[in-house]
Amino acid sequence: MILSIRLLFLGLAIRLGVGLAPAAEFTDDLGRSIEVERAPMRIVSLAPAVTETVFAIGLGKRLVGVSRYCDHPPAATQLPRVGGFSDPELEKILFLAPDAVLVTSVVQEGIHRALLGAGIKVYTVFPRSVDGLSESIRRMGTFLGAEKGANAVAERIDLEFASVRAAVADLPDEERVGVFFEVDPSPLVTVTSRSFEGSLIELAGGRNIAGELPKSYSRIDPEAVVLADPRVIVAAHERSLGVPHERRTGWESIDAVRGGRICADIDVDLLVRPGPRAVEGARALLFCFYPERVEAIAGAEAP
Amino acid sequence: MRTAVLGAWIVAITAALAGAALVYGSIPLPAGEVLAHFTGGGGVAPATGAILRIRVDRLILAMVTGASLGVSGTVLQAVLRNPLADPYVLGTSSGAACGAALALILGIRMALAPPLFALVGAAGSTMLVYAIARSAGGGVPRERLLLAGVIVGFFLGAVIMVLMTLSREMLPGIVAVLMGNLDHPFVPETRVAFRFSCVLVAIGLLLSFAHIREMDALCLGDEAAAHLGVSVERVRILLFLASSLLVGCVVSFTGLIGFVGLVVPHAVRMVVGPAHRRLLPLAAVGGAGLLTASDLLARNLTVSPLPVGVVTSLLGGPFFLYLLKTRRTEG
Repeated sequence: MILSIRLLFLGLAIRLGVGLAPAAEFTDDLGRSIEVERAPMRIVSLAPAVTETVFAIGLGKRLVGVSRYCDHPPAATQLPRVGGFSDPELEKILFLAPDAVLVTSVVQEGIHRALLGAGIKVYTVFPRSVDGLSESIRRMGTFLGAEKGANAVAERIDLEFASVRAAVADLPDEERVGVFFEVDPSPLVTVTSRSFEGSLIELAGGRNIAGELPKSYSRIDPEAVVLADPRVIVAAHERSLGVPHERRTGWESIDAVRGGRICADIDVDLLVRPGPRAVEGARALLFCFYPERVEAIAGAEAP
Repeated sequence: MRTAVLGAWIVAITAALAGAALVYGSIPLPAGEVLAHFTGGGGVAPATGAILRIRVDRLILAMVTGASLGVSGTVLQAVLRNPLADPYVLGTSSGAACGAALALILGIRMALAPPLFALVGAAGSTMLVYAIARSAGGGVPRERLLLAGVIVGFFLGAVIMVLMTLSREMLPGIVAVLMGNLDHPFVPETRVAFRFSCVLVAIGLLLSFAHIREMDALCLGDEAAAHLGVSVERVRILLFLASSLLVGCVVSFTGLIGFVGLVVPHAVRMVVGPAHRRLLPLAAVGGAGLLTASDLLARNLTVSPLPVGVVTSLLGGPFFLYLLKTRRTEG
């Protein structure tokens, strides 16, 4: 009896001994826990914004693979491609033998499950809005063992977002420009306040006319846009250029069209990628909404 | 007499639906203001006028598309003597969508390119189906035609997916083509392209209406039709061409809208009988009415609009099953 208890303790001790390797537990943006024994040195990133963040915090050298859409900074284009954004290729990722794969949510939930099933560590980066961006970058920095670099990037982002927010802080609600953000002209698709783009619009002092619609991206009837009569239209995606707003039937009555306030020359990546360049997107939107207020920001040049 | 009254009802209901589409759209407008806009009266808010201009374009697109689908379905059902035939099932629509998609990914800026490519796609896929179905003896058995159509349709559907994926189009674009969509922003160039398409639709309609007697004869069987002096092969090819003209161009504006071409001829036949001199014009009117009604539903069923093709399939599927249950369709 005593012997068996001893043996039990011995077994327990051995088990603990094995488990005592310094495994650290981290939590990603979705609250899922990831255990790694040491900071990941071979990283695959499946989202352009995440790739930009990894480079920004100085860990570009650890990336061994990226998605087809990861095109910034230029060094990212030299890395092996492992498929698209919504269709990453499991085998190409496994072939690179990564310590960790950084994914985003929603469209990448499927590959997330597949990678976990293959025994790969997966960390989800999913800042829902500008408010969560710096927090998300800090959290990822901790996971990658690069708190210092991540904190520096996060602090810069917080400062720049704060300066944009300050530039419109004194605007009363009723003076905020109504904004229509066009994702696709046919069928007409826009962003709501649940999307990252929507939060950028609000940060820069815009009032999203489609803020209340369901989902992050929503179809909207052109009639609803005419009725809402936005002061500004942001049409950053290429497909909108083929059907210019000022020439569309019925759109000529819209304030933004009559006033020629259609912002079509903003680099769309600055708006749709929740990464370090989103601050440039915020400044571009501020310039688009309130050109007279841009000077309030130190060091900001008109885009 | 009775059928004349019933036919008048179809026209009246479609006219009422068109009126409702102008007043309701996705946002109800005051009927008085709508009337004032069209009669040139005063007191119309600028936004109301703008909304109505968009609505009129959309209504015309819906009615032209619905009419061409209804007529081409009727024509194909007569030519193939098969109640399952319609441009969607026979691969004509998929061929057109393929052509339009090709014009888009080739990046041809001309507004006329998508409808022209779509027309070539529609005619090409129809010819392909016809060539495949043609048996060694030179005859074209109807069953083979239908089967070849279904297979070519599936194949072209896959080609559309490949084209769309290659062009890195985002999901809304693909859904718009595959599910059908009347949300089409008109700019002057696309309006010209649409008018051009309407001319081709009109030629398709004329070609169909010119062969009403032959269609009646074809419904009796190829041999009987031949005895009645119809040169079956020639008429068949002409009517296939008419069907391509009808759906080819409009598909480049609306994408694939299913079930209208299938259901409308059956529904109208239930009301006014199988004689094509009544069936054909009323299928045009009924198709226009059905697509207008479907669009009204698509814009109001959910908070953000649904693709119209989803609604036609939701309405058409159960209706077709009902037909299947209640009627012994004659083959």
